[in-house]
Amino acid sequence: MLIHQHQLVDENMSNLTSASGEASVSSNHQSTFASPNPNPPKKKRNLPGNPDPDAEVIALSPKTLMATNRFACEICNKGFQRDQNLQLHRRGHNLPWKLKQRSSKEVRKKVYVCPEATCVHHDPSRALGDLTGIKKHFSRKHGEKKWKCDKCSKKYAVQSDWKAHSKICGTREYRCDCGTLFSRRDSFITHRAFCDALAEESARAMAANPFANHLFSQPTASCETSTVQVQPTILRSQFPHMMRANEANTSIVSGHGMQGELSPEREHQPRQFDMRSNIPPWLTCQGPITTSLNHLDLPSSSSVYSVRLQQEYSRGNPQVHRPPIPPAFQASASSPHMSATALLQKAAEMGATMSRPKHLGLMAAHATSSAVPPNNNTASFALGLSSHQEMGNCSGDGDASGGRGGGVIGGFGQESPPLLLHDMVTPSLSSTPGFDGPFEDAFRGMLESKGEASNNSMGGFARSHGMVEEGGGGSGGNDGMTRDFLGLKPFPERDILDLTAFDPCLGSSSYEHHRQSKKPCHGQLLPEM
Amino acid sequence: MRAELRGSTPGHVSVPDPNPFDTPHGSLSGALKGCLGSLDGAGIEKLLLHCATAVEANDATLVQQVMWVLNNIASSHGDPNQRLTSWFLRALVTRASQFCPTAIPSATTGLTRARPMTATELVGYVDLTPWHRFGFTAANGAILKMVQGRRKVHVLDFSIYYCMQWPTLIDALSGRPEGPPLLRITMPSARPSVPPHLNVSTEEIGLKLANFAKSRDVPLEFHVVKATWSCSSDALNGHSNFLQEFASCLLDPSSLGLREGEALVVNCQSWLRYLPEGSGRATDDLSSRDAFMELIHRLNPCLVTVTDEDADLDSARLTSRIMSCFNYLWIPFDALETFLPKDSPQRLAYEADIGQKIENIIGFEGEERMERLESGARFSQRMTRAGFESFPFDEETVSEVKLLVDEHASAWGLKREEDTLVLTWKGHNSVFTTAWVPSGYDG
Repeated sequence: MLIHQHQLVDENMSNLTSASGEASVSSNHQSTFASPNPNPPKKKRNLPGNPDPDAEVIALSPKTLMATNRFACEICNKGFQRDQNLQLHRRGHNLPWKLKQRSSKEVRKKVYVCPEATCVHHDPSRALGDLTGIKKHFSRKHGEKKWKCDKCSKKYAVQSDWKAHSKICGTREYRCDCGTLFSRRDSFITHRAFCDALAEESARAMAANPFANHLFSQPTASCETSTVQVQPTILRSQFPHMMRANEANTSIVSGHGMQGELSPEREHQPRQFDMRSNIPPWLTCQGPITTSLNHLDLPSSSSVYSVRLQQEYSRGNPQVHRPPIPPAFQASASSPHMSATALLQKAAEMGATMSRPKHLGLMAAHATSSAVPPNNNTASFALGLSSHQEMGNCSGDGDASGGRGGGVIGGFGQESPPLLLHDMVTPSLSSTPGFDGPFEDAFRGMLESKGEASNNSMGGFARSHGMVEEGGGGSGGNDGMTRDFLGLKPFPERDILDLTAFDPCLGSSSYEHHRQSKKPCHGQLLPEM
Repeated sequence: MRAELRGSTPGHVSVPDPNPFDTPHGSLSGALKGCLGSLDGAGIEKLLLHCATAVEANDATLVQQVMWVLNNIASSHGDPNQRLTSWFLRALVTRASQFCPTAIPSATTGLTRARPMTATELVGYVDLTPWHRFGFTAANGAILKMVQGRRKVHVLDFSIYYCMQWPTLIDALSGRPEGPPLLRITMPSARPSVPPHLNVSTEEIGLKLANFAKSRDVPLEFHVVKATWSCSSDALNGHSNFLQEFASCLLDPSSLGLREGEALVVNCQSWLRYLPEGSGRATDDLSSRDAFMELIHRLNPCLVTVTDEDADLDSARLTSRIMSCFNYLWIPFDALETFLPKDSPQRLAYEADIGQKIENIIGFEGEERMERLESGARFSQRMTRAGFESFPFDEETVSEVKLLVDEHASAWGLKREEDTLVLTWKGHNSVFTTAWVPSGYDG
């Protein structure tokens, strides 16, 4: 592809008609050096994001991309982005005008790259297909957001974006009977369809007037009766996120902060579905639903609903009250937890008397199933490790033994075999307050599933194992062997750096080649990755 | 070109504050920290590939080493790169643990399901970003156009989103100048075991929908097609159970309850990716993608809408899948980062659902790997092979979709690729939506 640098306004550009801001890909087979093609070129479909290789790549400067209204009318000073538009405008002033004729030869398809070097669209193979597209892209992505909405805090780099937003900002607000606000009608409609408030009202209305066909009229009609008042407060607080988010609107997430006020109102738990038996026939629609209605477990949904009020929107085992993680889990030097930085520290101590990182014990604490025998030779990870003798040492762990985890990975550690894998496999995904430090998150899942292990098939052991509650002393049974996090000897500095170094020829095949060319060495990182 | 995430420090992974008790010490610690601190998306991707290759090569030591490094980067509360890494690491761990004997429960059983959502929560979930509603709006627009003037409309809904799409269609139908049609919506009872999870049954959703339709004066019939085959819950074979159940729903087309004179619409939302490629003989396995499309074709629908995510995540090679996943799934993580705080429960929950997808794609093979997404371009070729022609979205629908996109963060964009509409994030394809009619359709 030929690349032209255009520093100045290129008159040719004004001849281009830009349909929309979106990239469109079409191709022609014309090429200066191609053999003559007697047939008219057919439009070939390219894969999206891959412009025609025959296209001419144009790299405009930031200045050019940001420039607007380069052509101005001398009479009224109105600005235009394209010369053609200016010429047409001049007609209105009865000024002489002239339109450039499209050149008779086939116009070569042009594609544009972004001048920003780090941008994905800087690569010619990711060029955008039209001028307006690249200009908008550049503005949006790399430009300063000069346009600010009056009513909300949204900022835009492209004026048309700002205009489009201003038109609708605050102008349309839809309120559901439950009290939630929406800025977009489609979200509002969808919410309304499934909102409990609607069902309630409809049933009540039907019960009151069985002959009424029309339940609710317009979205803005407020049929709120006194009995419905209770709900809106609850729901509004509960779903503050429904209020259309401005970017980084922190008030959205403080939902849980409002939960305090929810508690007293929980008593007024709306009697949601006890009308089940009174559902008017028309509500049961046709056929299959009628029968299935009897099996609807409606009360349970309301109980989940009430539970929901109490909890944050969090994941994990369906328990109503999860005990807060004991302070022992806070990251501190004496806790069983170790921050990643401390880990690195440890790794750096090449000595033989490194005390075993506490968290390893935590990770190792999980049992996979109590049925697994401590002898993990046969059960060891098929990754090829033979059993470690250290494993045997750990079976004498002072705490309640419960079941030892099976040999997930042989090399993992003294105590129990490496439940690291397993812990990671059981995602207790709750966001637990009280956890400090970003790397602790990686272990959070494990700790939490230890914390409330009742439903977790793997957690029971951990609790009894007491790794967590003990909070100290390393995991009992620390035989003083020096292992780091993954049961490896700390590896030499160079190897770590090599590991993380960029490898320009990474690819499965090249990697295999590297691997095969070296003797496999356990416990040592190959110098070349 | 690698997609690189922009975190708080552009292109770099943020390393947490050092331990206050840290004392300046060996060069290793500093060097390592420095290394990790300068890792961008490309570097992490390389590490992930290293790890995967090590797993495939059975090199336990190397696996441990790379996982150790990855673990130091990963953080479910960090910047998008870190979050993504944490889910990828989990997936790799899952994969590595596949080698374990059955003493260890498989990840699918051990997987803690996210607490199921209520219907209203699900509404919020699908409206977090335009990701889902993009397809809803486009498909509904095509449906509206196609059923103009028709008195009876029957939608066969194959979607994992529990009818979140239909309220707006019902609303639009109620406003038709010629009045609303009789609308029927039919769904299979079988659904792949993937998020989002709802805490109520499909029937109850249908009930609410019917209630709502009534309030709009749209006669609605909602029907769930029961599987004629079902097994006792055996989570270990979760997905093949789904496939068998699903196939049994389709086995007898009459169970779909088609009627004369109705405009039949087939709606596929994030569905086809869960159907396997099939053995190549379309008649063999009803649940395969091609067989399914062939069946649909035989039903002679007036419209088939297909929406799904626009990426190829089904390569047979693990390393390719890691690359394509990493270079695609950064998009939702990046998007959420722009408007939700780091500890937002909604964000974490949404990311966890994506994490589950990552785990399935990276951690499993064979039948257990249910996520086999193919990109819009490939799906389109498949549809063409199955005897469908693309049906362009009309301008009104496109404007509506554009409006939707414009109302969200400015980085969301709309792209047209012939008859396909593509939702883009910062220019990268995220979701594609298409509409089709059987070739030679006999309206």
